[in-house]
Amino acid sequence: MIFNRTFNKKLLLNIGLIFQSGITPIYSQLSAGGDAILKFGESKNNFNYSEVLLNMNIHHNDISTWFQFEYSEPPEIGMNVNGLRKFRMDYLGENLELSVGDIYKIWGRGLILNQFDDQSVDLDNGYRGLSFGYLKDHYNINMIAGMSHISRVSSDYWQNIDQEARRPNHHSDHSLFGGDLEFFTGPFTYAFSSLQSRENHPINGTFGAGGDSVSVVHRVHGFRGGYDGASLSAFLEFADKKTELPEVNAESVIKGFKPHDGFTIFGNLNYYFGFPPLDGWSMTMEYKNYNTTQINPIDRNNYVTNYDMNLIFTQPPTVLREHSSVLLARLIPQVSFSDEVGYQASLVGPVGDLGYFTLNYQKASRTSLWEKAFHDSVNASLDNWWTSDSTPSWSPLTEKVALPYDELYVEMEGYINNVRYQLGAGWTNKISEYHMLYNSGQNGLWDADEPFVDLDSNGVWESGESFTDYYSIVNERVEYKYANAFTIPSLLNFNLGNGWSLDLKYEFQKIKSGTHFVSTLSSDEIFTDLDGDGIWDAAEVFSDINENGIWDEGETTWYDWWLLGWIPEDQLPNYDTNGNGEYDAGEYFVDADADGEWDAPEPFTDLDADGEWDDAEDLSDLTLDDEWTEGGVYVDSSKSNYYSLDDNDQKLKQEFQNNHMFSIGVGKSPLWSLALTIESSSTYEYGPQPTSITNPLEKLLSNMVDMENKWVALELMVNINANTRLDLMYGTLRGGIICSNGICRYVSPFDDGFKLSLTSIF
Amino acid sequence: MKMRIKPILILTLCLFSFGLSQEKVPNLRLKMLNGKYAKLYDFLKDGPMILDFWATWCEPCKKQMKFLNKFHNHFEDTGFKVLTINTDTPKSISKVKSYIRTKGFDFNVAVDPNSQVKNKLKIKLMPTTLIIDTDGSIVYRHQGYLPGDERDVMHALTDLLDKKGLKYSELNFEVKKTKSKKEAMKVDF
Repeated sequence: MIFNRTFNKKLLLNIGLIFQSGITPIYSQLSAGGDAILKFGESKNNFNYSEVLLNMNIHHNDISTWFQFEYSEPPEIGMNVNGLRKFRMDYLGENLELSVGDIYKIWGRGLILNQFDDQSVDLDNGYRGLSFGYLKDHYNINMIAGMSHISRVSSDYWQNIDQEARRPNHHSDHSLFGGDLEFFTGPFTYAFSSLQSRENHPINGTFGAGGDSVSVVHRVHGFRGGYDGASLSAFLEFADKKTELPEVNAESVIKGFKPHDGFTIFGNLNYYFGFPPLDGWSMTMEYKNYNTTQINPIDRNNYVTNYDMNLIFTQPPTVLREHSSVLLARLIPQVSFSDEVGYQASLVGPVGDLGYFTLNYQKASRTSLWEKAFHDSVNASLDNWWTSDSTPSWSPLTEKVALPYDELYVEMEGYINNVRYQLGAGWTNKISEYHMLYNSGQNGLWDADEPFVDLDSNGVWESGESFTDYYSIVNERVEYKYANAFTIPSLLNFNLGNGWSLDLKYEFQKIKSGTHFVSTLSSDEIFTDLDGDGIWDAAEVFSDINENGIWDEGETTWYDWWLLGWIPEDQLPNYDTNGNGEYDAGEYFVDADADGEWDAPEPFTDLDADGEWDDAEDLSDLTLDDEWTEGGVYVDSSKSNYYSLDDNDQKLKQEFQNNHMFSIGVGKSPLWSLALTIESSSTYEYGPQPTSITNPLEKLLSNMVDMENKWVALELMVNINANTRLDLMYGTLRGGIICSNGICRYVSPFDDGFKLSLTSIF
Repeated sequence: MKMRIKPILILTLCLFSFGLSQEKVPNLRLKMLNGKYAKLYDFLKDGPMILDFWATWCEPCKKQMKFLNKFHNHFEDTGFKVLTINTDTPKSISKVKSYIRTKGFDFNVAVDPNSQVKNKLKIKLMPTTLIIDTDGSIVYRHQGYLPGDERDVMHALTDLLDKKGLKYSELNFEVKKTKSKKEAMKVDF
């Protein structure tokens, strides 16, 4: 059942060779074919790849085989592979179905098992083993057994982290065994499933290194049922999940983590209207409630230390609309298959001869509410933890800590003569992160109950009397990242006749995105009064040699790395610790002279006589406004991620970002198409990005439009023949999050380069 | 080094085999939109077929589908069928039924939520359209869709029908669409 991968590759190659050699004499009875995909990319920001994927299929009567070879150095995303990547042999008889090799199965809607090989996000959750199936008129049995080797990128696993987030660093093994029994009765179908996974799960070692692993057992059992009628169809699936840590694990592992058991539910209802005026209209409703773990808002994606949520072979429906609009698709949140509740309702129907109207609303959140607790005010900043006492909700929550998301989308699409049109509008709101931060310390003031030396024995503390200053400040900062956007996608497609066509696509998006926070300061912010004037000083005096108003840095900081594209966007908060988009003293930098300070070349007035320039008097800046603040409650909802440049290239914080995407394409059926895409943004995210008007295409366009903060790409598709297609892209692509199957990954910008893809079927 | 030669050897043998045989589709098991199962060759019993792969998020696929429906209805008397295979993942598969019903499409629809049928038939791009003869051999393959491609597909189809001596009337693309009065999709097997 458990396959040794190296051994299997050799064994299967030999079997394949023998099999192929043996059957070659009777090749006339065989059908053989395959396909090859060549992908090559090279850009100036070092996003390079070279990948060849070769699939070969041979089938004869009821037996078919599949081999997949990959030669990549490096691939666009994922591990380097040079040789056989996948293989499978299938037998399909009248009722019997047998498979051996690399198998991908889906039961129901995937609440228990949904396996696929999605190279766009580098997720391959299939297994290598056996599958047995038997189908009769009224029932279908499927049994599976094998090993699933899952590789993923995780910043929570500290070994072999790849800065570009292209190469997986966390590898877990699941030994799978399970079965599915399905029945058919008239318009009804129903099924029962059971699956067990014995997982070998790598964890961080004691000192942050990798190398340790734990054994975890997941068991998922469930049932599903469906009805398919003339005017109504419905589907419901339920799965119950249990996770155990076997005693083979170290006692510290078993005691240190209590796995959470839970359930997942998915339901879907379709109604087809068959009466005027809604004849031809249909309504679709979907509901999800995935609650297989209990995890705080910060650790939501941390499956490395939360073993009970690493059921990667379960991929239930996201219950989110899959947009073809680029700008709308970027706003889709990453779905948690372990902790999410939500619904989607959609109404679609014809509007006379104008076309089809779509109304779609979707809403989702985490299943429960969380808050922070701490033992005492003395150590609140160091010793606090998340706690949740609410039971899982059956409907999406609106509290910010539950990371709510909603989107309303309307669309009209249809034909007017030979012109196909599509016009949509989407309103999106989401909270993507939620933090509760604490700051505690001495306030330098006598507070009630603090012991003091009562010099005049009057029982009242008076100025000048010494006292014991307990830690008495507990400042709380609640902050969350939000995005509110309005998006209009539109498309016009002209059929010009004789196979010629013209595509015009324009998308507009106005988005506000940033960090909202509420700070509650129980006392004034504390500072180190370097010059003893009793007032917090913003900075020490220095000689502004180049008269640019700022003190110039002399050492490399995270900001320089980010400009070079070395820091993935989702890891930026780890570097830009106060989220202001620029380097501040205290954030990561290369300490060239190893003095622990960010050194500068310019002369300055040394207020504290430490021989070094200080950015400001040391301030416990809970409000993150870079200034000393009095005690009180402060709310800031306008702190935005966006910046624009003024004439002197100084950053100006902006509240909104306007994004435009325009594409014009011309095509000649069935031979070729050519499309020019220009994407622009009114502001920068996290400060200015390097501008590079270096390629001829951008130079040409710069004569007509300002190329600041724009991405331009030219794409050519050529159908060389019916079986061979060439895609060539030249230019610059904006980076961002791409999501597929509810799993998202950050894609680095592609700067001044070309991509080539050749697909050939033989 | 030995291991590197073997894949090349296998590839050579495969290509050699391919050169002397016509490509046929395997008789795959399909899951239909109503949740029941069928086999690919069930659709070839009465005549040739068009097999088309699509998804609800694929705009070119949706542009092509109204023409596929025309083919399905117009050439029905020859035993010809259109079978479309939807490749939406479970996240959007609930909308497939609504989409088909709302648009009034009459062709057969199967679902392939984890792309296994798609991979077995070497479908690399969407839409991909195959014309398959009754013996399972692929006589035409087209990847992608540009307006006007439907004529190319129709010519390939009529060439096949002519070759088989099947009679049909000419299809005029300019005729305005008529609303389907059919009550239910042909998905039962």
